[in-house]
Amino acid sequence: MDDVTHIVNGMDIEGVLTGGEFPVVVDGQFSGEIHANHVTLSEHGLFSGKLFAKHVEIGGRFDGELVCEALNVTATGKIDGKVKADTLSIDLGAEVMGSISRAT
Amino acid sequence: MDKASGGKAIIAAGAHFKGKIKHTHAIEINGSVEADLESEKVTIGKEGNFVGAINADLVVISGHYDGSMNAGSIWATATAHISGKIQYKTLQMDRGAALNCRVVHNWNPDTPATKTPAAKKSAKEDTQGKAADAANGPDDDDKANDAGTVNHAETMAASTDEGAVQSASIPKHNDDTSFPFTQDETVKMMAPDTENPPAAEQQDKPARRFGIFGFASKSAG
Repeated sequence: MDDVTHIVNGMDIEGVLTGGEFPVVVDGQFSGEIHANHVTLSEHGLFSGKLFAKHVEIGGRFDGELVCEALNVTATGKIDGKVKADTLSIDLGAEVMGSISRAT
Repeated sequence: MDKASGGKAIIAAGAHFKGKIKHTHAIEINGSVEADLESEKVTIGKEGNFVGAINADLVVISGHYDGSMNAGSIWATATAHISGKIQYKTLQMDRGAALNCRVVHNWNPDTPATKTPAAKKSAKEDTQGKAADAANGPDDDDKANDAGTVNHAETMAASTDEGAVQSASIPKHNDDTSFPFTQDETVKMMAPDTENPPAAEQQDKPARRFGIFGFASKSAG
């Protein structure tokens, strides 16, 4: 559990986060930039800014720019912005707005 | 957004964050963080490195910290390295903790600000009260005032001829609260010729002092 960077629910964070090798879970409010291997934006998570990662799972609200290799938007996910992903899956019920293109 | 469900936020080892962190219940930092942080509880792990301001109720430091910290309680464990400035109400340091910083107790600026005027006022009232009381005898409680009277008595004792002249003028100023100070001034100006009284005379001083003030209080009454 300690090997995860966890932005908990209710937390308000602003800045640049470089996750390192461990996964990042955003359950709170994040504005800024995240560079990481694996990022999960959970149901209560609120993200605005830029997100660069290999694997991304969006279950919360995302605003901004997203660049990744693999993106999974779950049923509760809401995306507004620019998405660049090599592989993409969007679950039934997810709201995605904006542009989608391949990262490479 | 309720904090209770959130649990403890973690910045994992190897992660780096730069920015602001707010509204956190508890946060554990094992990575490297450059930030302004507001939290109820902060833990900086062994491998953790934090640079920036912390505002928290409880801070446990096992790693490196540099910055300005305001905390209710600070616990620096054996592996802690702290630089900058820490302001605290309670501080615990384990053997081996390295503090290389400015340490200030009672960091809340409101507390001394509200306390000081009241304290000063009461102290002033005390001095005024005791300045009048001093005529009747020595008062151990008010050291400053007491010291003032002792000096006064010494110099008075040293200059016996002038002392007679002086003692006549004391009753007039007896009710004046600034009496010990003003009197000191005048005595100092007159005293230099007759400094360094012999040891025998020093022993007599208390008696003389009472004599002078006994006389003073009589005249006042």
